[in-house]
Amino acid sequence: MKTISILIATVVVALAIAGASSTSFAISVPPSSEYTAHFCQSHESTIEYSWSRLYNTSSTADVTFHCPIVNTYSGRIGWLEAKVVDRHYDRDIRCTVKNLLTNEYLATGWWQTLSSSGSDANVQTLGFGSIGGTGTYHHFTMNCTVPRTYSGNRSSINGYRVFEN
Amino acid sequence: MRTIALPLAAAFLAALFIIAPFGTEPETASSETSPELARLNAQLAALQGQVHRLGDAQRGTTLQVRNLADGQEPASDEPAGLEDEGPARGERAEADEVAALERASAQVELLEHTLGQEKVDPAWGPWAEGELMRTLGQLDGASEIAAQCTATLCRMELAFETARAQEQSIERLGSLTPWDGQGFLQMDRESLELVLYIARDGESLPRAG
Repeated sequence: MKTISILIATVVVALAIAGASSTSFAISVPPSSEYTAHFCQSHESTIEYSWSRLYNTSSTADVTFHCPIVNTYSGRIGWLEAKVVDRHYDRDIRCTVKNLLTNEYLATGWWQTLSSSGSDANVQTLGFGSIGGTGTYHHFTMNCTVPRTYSGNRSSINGYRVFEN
Repeated sequence: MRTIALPLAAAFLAALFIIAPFGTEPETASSETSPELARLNAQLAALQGQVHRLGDAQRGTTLQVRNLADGQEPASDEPAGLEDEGPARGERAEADEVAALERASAQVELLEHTLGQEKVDPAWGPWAEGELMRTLGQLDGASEIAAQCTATLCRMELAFETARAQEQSIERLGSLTPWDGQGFLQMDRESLELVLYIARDGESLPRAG
């Protein structure tokens, strides 16, 4: 019985090693662009940049940040994630990513909106999927509305990352 | 029993280590084929661009040689062929824009078709229409507003009094939409109309192509 147990354990370990060695070759990382929150701008004065984070310091008003995404023409947005810290008890951080094609006659394209949840000192990740197509005249943007402070706690955008495919 | 089990185990493990590399090879190959193909395609595109530019340069040089033979001055001091680069790039960008507009048109067609085919969800549709009118209907400068929701999709039509109001509305879309999710928009800058297609919370918009 003991021999069979050892045999089974050996097989399981061997399978785990074989599996791990095969998956390590299968991973391929798409090109990505990392943006700190310093790229974002706002019309409001109640904002503060600190340690690459961007805070809303107002105790009375929510603030919208406008964050650029460079169109590199090398691919489409396969995945985009925004790192945020939501410290407000009942208001959320709400981010919208837009991919618009514009000219003098029209504007057309996709958008997607995601919100944080709860109130937490930890970083939350808002994960957007593929946002439309790409091309010379496409413009990518992300807007995030960050709630006012709650009991002195400030909410922030910490950064965002764009994966191309 | 023990004498049989040990050789069996050894044989099994040996077989496992022999088979494992062959077993994983197709997976590795298939997962690396796409990035490899993409890399090769990118190289091909870059080479095509170089060939195109060389063609432009050759045409420019031929023209300059002909002008010199005819006793005319070269058209400019720029190196031969560079003056053709601008228009060539412009043509490519134009083709790119036309293709993107065609894709957008196909997308609108698909969304309109979906709206026409879907039945109204009485538990959600009227509520969603009311929410859209309450939120997006309050956009500054918006008039002639209409909202229609079926089972998984809403269509909202707005007309604006000024071009500025229409453009500003795009900036506020995300913060005013009553629920999170995907949307597609079509804005006519001449008639100042804006049509929004908004997926139900938790649903995805159908995609053309």
